[in-house]
Amino acid sequence: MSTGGYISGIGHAGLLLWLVMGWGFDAEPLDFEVAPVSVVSGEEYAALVAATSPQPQTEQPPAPEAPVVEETPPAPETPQEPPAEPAPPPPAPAAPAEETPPPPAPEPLPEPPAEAVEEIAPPPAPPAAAPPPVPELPNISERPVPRPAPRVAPEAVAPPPPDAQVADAVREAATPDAESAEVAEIEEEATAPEEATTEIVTEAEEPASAPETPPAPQVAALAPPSAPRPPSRPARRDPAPAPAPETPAETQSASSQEAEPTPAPVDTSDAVADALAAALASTPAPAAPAANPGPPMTGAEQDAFRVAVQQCWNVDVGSEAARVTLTVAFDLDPQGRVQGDVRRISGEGGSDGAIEAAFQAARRAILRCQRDGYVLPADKYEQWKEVEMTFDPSGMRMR
Amino acid sequence: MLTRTIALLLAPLVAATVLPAPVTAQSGPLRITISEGVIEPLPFAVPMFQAETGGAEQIAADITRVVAQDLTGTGLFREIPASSFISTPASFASPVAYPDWRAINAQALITGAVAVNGNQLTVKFRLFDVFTGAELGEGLQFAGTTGGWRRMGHKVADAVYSRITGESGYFDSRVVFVAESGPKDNRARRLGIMDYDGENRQFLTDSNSLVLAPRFSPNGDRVLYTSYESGFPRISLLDVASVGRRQITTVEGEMAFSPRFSKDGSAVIYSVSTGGNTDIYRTDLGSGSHSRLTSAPSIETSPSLSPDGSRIVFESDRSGTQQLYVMSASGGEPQRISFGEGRYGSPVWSPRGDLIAFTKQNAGRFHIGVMRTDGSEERLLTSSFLDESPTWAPNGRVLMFTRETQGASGGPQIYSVDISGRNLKQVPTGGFASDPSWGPLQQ
Amino acid sequence: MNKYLTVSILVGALALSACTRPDRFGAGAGAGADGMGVGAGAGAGFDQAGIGQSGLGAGNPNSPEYFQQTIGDRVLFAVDQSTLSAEAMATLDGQAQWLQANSDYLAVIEGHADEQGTREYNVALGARRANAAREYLISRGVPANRLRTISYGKERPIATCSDPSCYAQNRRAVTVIAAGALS
Repeated sequence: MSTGGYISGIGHAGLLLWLVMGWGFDAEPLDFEVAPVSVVSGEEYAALVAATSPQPQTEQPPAPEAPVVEETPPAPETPQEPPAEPAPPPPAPAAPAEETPPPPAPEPLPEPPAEAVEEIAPPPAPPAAAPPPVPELPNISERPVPRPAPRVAPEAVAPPPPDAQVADAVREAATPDAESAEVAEIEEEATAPEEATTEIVTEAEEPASAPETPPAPQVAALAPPSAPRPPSRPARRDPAPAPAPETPAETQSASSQEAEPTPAPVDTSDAVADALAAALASTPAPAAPAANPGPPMTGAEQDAFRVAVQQCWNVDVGSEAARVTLTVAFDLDPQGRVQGDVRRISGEGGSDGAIEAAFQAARRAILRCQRDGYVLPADKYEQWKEVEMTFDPSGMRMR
Repeated sequence: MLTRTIALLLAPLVAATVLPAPVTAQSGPLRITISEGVIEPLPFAVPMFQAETGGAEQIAADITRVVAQDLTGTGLFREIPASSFISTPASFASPVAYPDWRAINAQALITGAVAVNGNQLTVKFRLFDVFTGAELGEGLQFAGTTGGWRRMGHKVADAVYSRITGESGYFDSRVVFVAESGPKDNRARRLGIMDYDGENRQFLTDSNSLVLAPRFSPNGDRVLYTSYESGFPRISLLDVASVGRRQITTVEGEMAFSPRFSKDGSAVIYSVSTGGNTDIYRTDLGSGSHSRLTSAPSIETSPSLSPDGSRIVFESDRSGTQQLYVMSASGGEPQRISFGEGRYGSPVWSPRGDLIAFTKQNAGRFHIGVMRTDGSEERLLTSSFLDESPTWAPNGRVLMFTRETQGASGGPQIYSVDISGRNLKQVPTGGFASDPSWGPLQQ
Repeated sequence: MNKYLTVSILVGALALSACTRPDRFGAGAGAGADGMGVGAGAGAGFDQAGIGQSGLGAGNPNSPEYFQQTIGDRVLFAVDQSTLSAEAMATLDGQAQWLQANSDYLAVIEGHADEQGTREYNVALGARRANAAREYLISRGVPANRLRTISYGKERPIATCSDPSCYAQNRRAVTVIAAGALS
């Protein structure tokens, strides 16, 4: 087949997939809130300052050019903040209306999301290997002390091998599963778990006289024996954490990640695939739903499920939501995929906003980590078709 | 709006409840408790905002950058580079191709559009929860002038931050600080003001006299600071809009310093030194009436009011070393709250009311730390040769502070750190800078 | 008349300080903000009263230079302390004698701290040090109304290194002689 035909084929396949998967998600027309914002430019401000600053005068000469506000109802802004209490400047052309700027009436959504289908046909061929998101790192260059890894996970993870891409969780290398649009569509590179420490290390807790260069080997020693840890997600047994490191891993992850060459060599994916196969072998793949409840789930099976979700449960430990204990419920189909929505059963420990944020985070975790379906014993489907999951961050939030 | 959001989110719930899946009698739901998760930045995608009018491309790109930088700058979010995008929205109104965003693991998607008419600028955006496949909140539009494009970006980022974290943002805020220049033994200081991210820096005073420790008023319209303009330390009040300033008449004493606004901005809490003794006073800005809040023969300074205005935390060396105490806002017997090793100073009550940030000096190092208001759960966030003067972000989530490097060529810079101790970074100030005071979220 | 003299003296003191550290008061001392009680325009004239132009040398025991260089214009303090050492008292004894012999002069005692402390606490600590020196001078017979104090906290170091030798020099109270008689 010619290259063009190949691209075209992929493009059409992508379009089809998009139609199947993406259709029906279009946004309904929603109300817009309108909030006016106005501003004075730096030059105008400089002029304002210049008018008063050099000669410290007794009274502020209210620069005539002060209010730069146009006809637009000036929400307070840079220097034209809320009107000064003590001595409001002399009647300026446009009096700054502080609280209630007559906003342009809330406009309904301009264009309805009509039949915009063709406009967003998927691009020809998704890049074979999309460059992975580069984790955000503290952008401090002159720091003499190595920082903790940007990711904190229940278990320490060694820095990824230089040739593996960083992903949020271990992603199976190109699982041949035609049903899954996302996975099938992209040729997944083998990924390694992003480097993580087991706890937040603040600067104050780091050794004061840390070496200039992050000692990478130190981390390997703290991490589980197998250096590039095989992605053992599906068949996790009890995740007995490796002996809790006293001194948490401190490797500057920047160095290891910046150095990574983009393409993922075959070796790694093989290794991952092997490990994955081995892991999968130990757990029966989901099969047809069993008619009867079957034997109870073992502790190990429940642990595996728990670990699968906690890998995607992102806790913002500094937030109020990190004080919320939340219970949600959802249903699973025989393939271990979430059916319907994730429902909030209860939540306590914070404001409505915090509970809502905690719920969103829990729901994201469940939906995101299901991938092609949670790996659960098929013969016990009756045991797990309904799930109530409690998210309790009390052990994670700040002391 | 929040109510509507919740209602939207709950709609499927109701449906699910009405039509329950067939339940097998003998087994209830599987119950799992998740007590460990991960702490990592949430990946988001923000395709460049659509330019809806000719010539708006640059400003659209600039605003998109501000939104992305605000979010990534928190350390709580991570931007997925545009080069990874499988598709981008053809227009602001296009349906969202969720699978494309799931495939690159974008958990949140921000779309926006920008229109420019003369100097009028409108920015609108939408936020989508990619894995749920739903819009988070409603579309929002801001209108203003082109000169305020940065603020428009900050407002979009604040809204996104708020919808995802459940807390208010802090991007559309400003910081007043002391800009420093010159050699260490002859340093010039002047008040500066800037956006929270170091942009739009301006000076509020000249550098002819020493200025110390400015503080924003609760609504950000005025600044209190200590000025040596008269030759002796006195308290000055500066109007941010007009840059006009006046000296506050304080109680008799040779030196007045360490001023802070009361909760409603109508009074000043400050210290006066007389005969070597420093105590805390309160002066009503309107009536000029004074009251004395402490009367010990020791140093009492650096007061900070609780957000409800009922209590004051301050530092005192009445025990022999600098420690933190809490008393009623009207004075009275204080309770010591700091008991760890070392000296504690410059306490600042968080806007949430639950924490007090402070400077700690111990074993030759300085730290910025936080503790609960009863002194429990002390946690140090930073450590350096000299860290001091913390100030809270308007949402109580981030601290800015002064970090000074040692030696003759050393000098102060402003840093920020998340209260979890993560995301320590320098705030660009274009030179030496100290004593930040973080103002409120702008209206 | 007396009032005018007092104001003149004060302004003279400021002008003198400005001479030793030109940037210190600058325009602010003369132009001033409202409510400072300083005569507008007075500042420039009093620059002439500064010791630099007086023609008096350090050899003259009645000169401020003599006070500064021979008697010693400063005393040092221990870390976070404001108590006077025996050496400091000896220096202050000399200062007291000089001030009594030269009763036309005023003095402003500047208190300073090293950089190892928080800013506002150090202002208070400097005030305490300046006051300790002032109290001692009063106890040695110098009239209280000739002595004022000011604290610069850690904002005006004279030694800029970040080690104990510099810190020791910065923890000081400096008696700055202000012209009264020359005007």
